[in-house]
Amino acid sequence: MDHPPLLDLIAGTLGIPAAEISESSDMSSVKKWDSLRHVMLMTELETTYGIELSDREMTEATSVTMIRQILSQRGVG
Amino acid sequence: MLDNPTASASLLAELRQTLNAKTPSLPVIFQTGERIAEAANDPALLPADAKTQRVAVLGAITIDYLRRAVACAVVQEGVFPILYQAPYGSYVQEVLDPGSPLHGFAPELVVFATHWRDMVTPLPIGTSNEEVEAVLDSKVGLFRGLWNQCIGKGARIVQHLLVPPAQRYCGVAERLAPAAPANQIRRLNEKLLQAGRGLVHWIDMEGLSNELGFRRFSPAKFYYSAKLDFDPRWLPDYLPMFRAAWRAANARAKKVLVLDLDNTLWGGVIGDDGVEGIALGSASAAGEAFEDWQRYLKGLSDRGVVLAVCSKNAPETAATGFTHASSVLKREDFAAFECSWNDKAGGLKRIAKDLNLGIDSFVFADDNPAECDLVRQELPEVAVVHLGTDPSQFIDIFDAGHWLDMQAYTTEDLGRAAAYTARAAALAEQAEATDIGSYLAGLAMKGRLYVPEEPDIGRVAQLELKTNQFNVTTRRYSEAAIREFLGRDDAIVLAFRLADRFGDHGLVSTLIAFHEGDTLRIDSWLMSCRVFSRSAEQYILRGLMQMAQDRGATRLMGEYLATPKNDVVADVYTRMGFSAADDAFFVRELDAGNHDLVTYIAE
Repeated sequence: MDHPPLLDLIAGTLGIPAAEISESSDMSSVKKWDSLRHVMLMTELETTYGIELSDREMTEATSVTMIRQILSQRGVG
Repeated sequence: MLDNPTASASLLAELRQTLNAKTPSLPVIFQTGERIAEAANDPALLPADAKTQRVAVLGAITIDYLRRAVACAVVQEGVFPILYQAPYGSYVQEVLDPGSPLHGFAPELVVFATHWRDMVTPLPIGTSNEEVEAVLDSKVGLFRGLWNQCIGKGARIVQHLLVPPAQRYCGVAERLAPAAPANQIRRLNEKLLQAGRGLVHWIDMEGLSNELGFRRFSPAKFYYSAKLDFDPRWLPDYLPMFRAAWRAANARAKKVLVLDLDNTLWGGVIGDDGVEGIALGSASAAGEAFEDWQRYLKGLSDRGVVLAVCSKNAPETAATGFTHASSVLKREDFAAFECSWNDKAGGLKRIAKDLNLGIDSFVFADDNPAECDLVRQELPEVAVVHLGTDPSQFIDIFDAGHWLDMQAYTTEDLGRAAAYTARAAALAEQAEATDIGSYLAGLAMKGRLYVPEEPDIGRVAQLELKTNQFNVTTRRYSEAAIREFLGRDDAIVLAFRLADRFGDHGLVSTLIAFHEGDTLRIDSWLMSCRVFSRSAEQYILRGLMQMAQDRGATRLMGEYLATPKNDVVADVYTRMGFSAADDAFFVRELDAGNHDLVTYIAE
């Protein structure tokens, strides 16, 4: 499947420069990663990777590390 | 210091271009929506010479996403929104309390985003139909109260139809129970549509949910985690639906569909392949798809959409495509037929002139991306649909734009396309007639001026809302206001119908006047542009003068309020023998008779 690298996808969805996102970023360290944009990020991940996230996964996926972990559990990351 | 109107007008143009370049994605909607809201907060950034509109978004659920989408949709229509978002879940109080921040904001447009969870009453599943109806009627009553509050303050209303939930409980048994949640919501939608007719402009969220599937459209997790009505990924699909309701609410409905010919109405090139060589009809998959697409377009025409052709072809060969045995569309289905080798932007302008319709009411559909781009650039007010290369997708692609969505049909809509086609035939005759008098006499026109009755009131209100050119004061009275005038002794409400030997034009003009002392003052007068210059003005005034005399008035007074679109009637009163009293008012004494008002319309 053809899609942008994860960090670019997150930055693009949150509307911030890619340089402001790194492997160690999470909701508490990125100002624009608020609860409203988090929902949008989840729906963009679902569309891009063709997966469906559970309520629990959406609540847990609050850092780049956790997102990578969920994507790899689903065999798409 | 920062007051720079050119910069802000170009901000509107820039945002509009970002959103219209291609279907905007969710992050683009979110971020652009935010920029629009920020600009509205900073007076220096507000477009000084662009049209603005105060829009309030109210809902029972989280509407932060919706507010951004609404902002983008209004910008796509070329207007800069100033937005107000009611606090979560407080919309009923906000509307009913005259001192609320909502009323302080003074919206020109109010968007109600309702949600089924709010509207389902927990009733025992065996509750009788009568009891369910009574419960639903009380909910309709609540909305009626909300609408009246808003309309009373001059706001227009856009509202979401409710989405019936998909929970199936005990399966088929549920379908037959009026108290079932899905049935409550379906029935409530019907009742709201009836109660809101002429007052509310609807967005069919139920239709969108059905199209996508309820569980995809509205996964429960979004409601539980963020109190969202639906998955925000569908906001790009919501934009065109909102825009359709917005255009209806703001009298900007699209009326004309202009089509290309080769590879748009049939497969192949008529000039090269000939009538027998084009793909049309059941001989091939593509031919069958083109035939079905033509049937769909014929259906639009039957619903009042005016069809026209703009094609790069030699005129004599182009029309032969419609003689194909499988062609559903015939040459006479098109009110204008523009075939030349010139550019299509020029062709569209000529069609607008021929039909006497604003080019901002045009939709243009073509398979050729270059033609589409050219029209987008030259005529940003025209809606452009790029159909692509696969005819099996044309209907879906066209439908998804919601360009021709209507709120309700009237008999005039259903006769409009025929009337415009008749007008085209009449224009061709006009070119031959030696003078305008003998031309008008030859039309064998019959008119009727009368007080509108119940079935006409919807059409009278529609004319009030939609007529931009021949509209002397553009006061836009609602259906409710017209009913009120009809009950008043000092008010005269008139409707005018016109037919000629080419067709019935239907109800094409309305006039509202008030009797004040010795004066009958014309407060509102409008006329459909397809019957301009037919001597209907004279016919109507002759009738009105008679009524004024019967009431004991001694003079008529007319008023003209200029708008960017009603130049055509700037001199209507002076042409009709009125003298200017001041900038806005014109007077005609009744004792001088009516011999100067020559009409070619018979009773």
